[in-house]
Parts: sequence; structure tokens; C-alpha cells
Amino acid sequence: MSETPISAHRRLRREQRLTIAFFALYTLAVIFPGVVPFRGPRPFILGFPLALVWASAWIVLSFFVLLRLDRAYHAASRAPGQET
Amino acid sequence: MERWQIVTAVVSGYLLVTLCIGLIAGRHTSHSVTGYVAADRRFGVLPMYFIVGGTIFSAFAFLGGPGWAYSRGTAVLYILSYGVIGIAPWFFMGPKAARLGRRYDLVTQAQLVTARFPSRLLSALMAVIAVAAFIPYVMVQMSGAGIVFNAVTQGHAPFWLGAAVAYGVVILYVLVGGAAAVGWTNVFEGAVMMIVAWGLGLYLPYALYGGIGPMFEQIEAVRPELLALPGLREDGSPWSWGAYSSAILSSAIGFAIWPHLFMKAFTARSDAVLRRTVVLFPTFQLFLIPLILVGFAGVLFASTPERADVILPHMVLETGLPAIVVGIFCAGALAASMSTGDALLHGAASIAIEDGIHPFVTLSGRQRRLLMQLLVLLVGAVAFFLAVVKQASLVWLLLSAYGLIDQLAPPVYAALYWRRATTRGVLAGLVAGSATTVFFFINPQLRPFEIHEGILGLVVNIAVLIGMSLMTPAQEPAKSGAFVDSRSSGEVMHA
Repeated sequence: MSETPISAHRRLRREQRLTIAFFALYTLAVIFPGVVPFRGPRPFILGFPLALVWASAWIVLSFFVLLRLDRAYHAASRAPGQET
Repeated sequence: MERWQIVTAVVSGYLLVTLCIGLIAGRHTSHSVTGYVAADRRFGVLPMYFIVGGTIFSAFAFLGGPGWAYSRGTAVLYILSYGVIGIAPWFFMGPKAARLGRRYDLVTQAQLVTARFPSRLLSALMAVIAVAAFIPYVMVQMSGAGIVFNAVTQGHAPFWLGAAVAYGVVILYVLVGGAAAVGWTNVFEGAVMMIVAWGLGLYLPYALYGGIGPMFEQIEAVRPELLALPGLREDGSPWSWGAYSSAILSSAIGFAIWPHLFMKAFTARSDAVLRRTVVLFPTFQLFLIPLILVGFAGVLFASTPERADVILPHMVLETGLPAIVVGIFCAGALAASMSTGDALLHGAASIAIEDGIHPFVTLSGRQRRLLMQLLVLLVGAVAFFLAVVKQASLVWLLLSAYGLIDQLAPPVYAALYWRRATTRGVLAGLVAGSATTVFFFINPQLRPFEIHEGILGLVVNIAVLIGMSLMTPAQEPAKSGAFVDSRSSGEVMHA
């Protein structure tokens, strides 16, 4: 089922805000003091020290967050009614 | 055939393929300035993915990344942490810049900024900062090529010869093919470099320690200080949180602003292509993980290299890998160096002419293109001379470059997002921020909490930009609006 134009544009705006919030959180989580609880090395996860897993997990998560945002752009650009 | 001859043969094969790709790619673009600088704005997702990844991951990541993990432990995680945060703003900024580029016929970052804030001085200043930051960066890439070549041929190829051969190929294809050659060679170079990194990163921990888990357990038993953040300094003492955190912030802010990368926004075919490039970037960033693993694998290795940043070639040679694998490794390291060096040479020449010379002297498109080609040669020759003759000051120069590049961020963001910004505000901010950065770089002991000089410069830059802009008359709404309100397909304008 295709989205209505209004909901596609609204969804895009919501996704934009969520993405910006996610990257703000990401930044705080990898610098002092946010990163301190994850400074490692224990526990090891799949053999990797915690600090390395923490930095990598945010990269993987970013991929999915950006993918969602890209999908929202795609849907909104197909929906009629936008002014460009 | 002797071992070093096989290695040389594999590397020559790689260089030949790269050269062919570069020469063929350049034949399909127009002879205009837009053709040479922005590849006629025709790149799709595949070349853009490798351009962004290949341009960012340089010889510094390939040799310096493992070197940091080896000598400074988790301090290396700062390199892993800033990349995706740094590229994310491009998701919004890239398409916006590209759209304005199509509308106003722009091919460089300074052209974008001065289209909003008309000032020849601003244009020239941005060009000077960019070129000043590029030259040491190219030198590092050339040294990387020379070091690797020299190491894997067991000294049969002198340092200068390795750098000369690799960069002879780069200069040839950049001269002939411009941005198209840079783009399509990066696809090949990027693929070679990823295969080599993942291959070695997974192989070495298994071959030497029986797996990644056992490797880290053994390191923890002997050198636990290497595995806890924020890692160590070069001299082995603990690094500070202030330095670690501000290194992440300053690199993240400067990341997408590096002019040679930023101007690639103008080469994309569409907004959607640019956005997908950003979406896919995290998959490229993960390629640092195997390089970090290689560095850690070196910690308990039987022999130690002369310098930390040759740990990767050192281990490749000492673990008795077949000569063909050593050759492929060498090609991977050269690929990392060349895929960054080509964009830098091309960027430096384009920026010097378009932003440094063209605003002051009227030149035809044909003359500009010819001058750019001459400059590619000149910049390449200067960097080669400096890299071979004066190696000691490299790190100093490169570090200062990062702080200066950060200072280009406020002008770019103000041009795209702040209606009330004025030309005088931007210019004053840039001058004050750059001066602050240089001051704290020369006097590092005056930095509070060891905060990176680029961040300190930014604080001054932004404060002066805002203060001066509010004190000077606002721009006409039509002018600022054309930049700030420029929306992409899908984004609805607020009434």
C-alpha cells in the first residue's frame, strides 16, 4: 500500500529529526564522559575488547539509521505535492 | 625468479591496470572545466562510494592506523569513531551544495561560499588554506608509497624510486583524465585496498595467535594498558581524555569539509546518488577494523620494526607469506596512497586556478584547464621534492593542516544554513579562527585540557562570525534565501 503524500512528508521530517538526534547521541557516546563506562577491555565480546565493539557497533547502527532516512526521502520524493 | 622480483612484477601489473583505467576513463568526458574538475556531474553510486572511501582512507590509515594500534593501543579508536559522524552532515549538505552547483555552475567549495558571500579575498584565503593543507598531505602519501616499495623489495627499489613510479602513474592519469580518471581509478584502488586489509586483518591474528579472542587475551595478560581507553601517547604514558575526545570532534567537523572531498559533491549525477554514498559509507569505515587488528597482532610479535608505522609491512615480510601475497599487499598500500594522492593533486590544481587565480584574472575555460594541468605537474614535483628531501617536518605540517581545515566549516555551514550571516562576518571569523589555530599549534602548552587547536580556533571563528555578522547589515533576503531555502526533491518547504 502506498503512503499518502502528507504522511510521506511528515515521515521524512520525523526521520530527519530522529537521525540528527541519533548522531548527537552517537557523538556523546564516543567522547568523554559518555564513553567512560565502555572504556574496556572487559568483557570481551566475540573475542573483541569492549571499547572496540562499542566504537564498531555505532558504525553498524549508523548504517541502518541512514538507510531508514534515505528510504523516507525516496518515499517523499515520489509523493506528489512537494514544492521544489 | 627471486622473491623481490615477483613482488615487483605483481606491483607493476597493478600500476599498469590503474594507468589504463585512468586513461580510458578520461576519454569520455568533455574538454570543459566542468569536465576536468567535476567529471561533467555524471558519477553514479559505485564511483562515488569508492571516491569518498578511497579519498578518505589514505596511506596514513593504511600504515598509521596499524602503527597507532601497535604503539598506542585503543587511542587508535578515535580514528574509528569520527568517520561516520563526520560524513553524516554530508547527507544533507552534499545534495544542497550539488544543487546550488548545478544552478550557479560551481565546481569548488570556495566558489560555493563566495557565491553567497562575494569576496575575492575570501576566495583567495580559502584557496591558500586548502593548498597549504594539501601539500603536506600529498607528501605523506608519497612517503607512504616510497616506504612500502622500499620495504617489500628488500631495499632493491630506493625510497625515491617507489614514490616516483607510483606518482608518475598518478600524475599521468590526473593530467589526462581529470576527475573522471580520479573517480574510476579509485574504484579499482579502493577494491584492492579493501581486499588486502580484510585479508591480512583476518589472517594474521589466526596465523599468529590462533584467533582474535586468544590474541586479545594474550595482549591483556602482558600489556593491559593498551586495551583500555583513551590509550597511550607516543612516549607510552597514558593519553588524556581531553585530547582523545577533541581529536574525535575536530576530525569529525573537518572530515566532510576537506575541500578535495567536498568538491566531489559536484561530480554526482543526482541528490539520491550523494545520499546513498553517505548511507553506504559506514561499510567502508569498518575496513579500519582489520587494520587495527593487524596493529594489535604486532604487539606480541617476535621482532619489532624500526618505526611504529611500518608494523604492517614489517609483519607481512616477517611472517613468510608467499611473494605474490606480499606483492598484492604492496599494491593495496600503494592503492591507499594513490587514491588519496590523486584527489589531492587534482583538488590543489583545480582550487588554485578556480579560486586563487580566476577571480583576479579573466581566463577562458580552455586556458584554465591547461593551467590546472600544468599545476598538477608543478604541485606533484614540489611535493615529491619536499617528501624526498625533507621528511622530518611532515607530521608537524600534517597536524597543523587538520586544525586549519576545521576553520573552513563555519563559512560553509553559514553559506548553506544561516540567513543572517554576512560576508564580513564570515571573513573575520575565518581570519580570527585560523590565527587562533596557528597560535595554539605553536604554543601547545597553553591549550586548556589539551583540547585540539582546531576546536579552539572554531570557538573563536564561530563567535567572531556571529558577532560581526550581527553588527553588519543583513544580506538581501533574495540572496540568502536562494542558498538557505534550497531544498531537495522530497523536502517540503515550510510556507
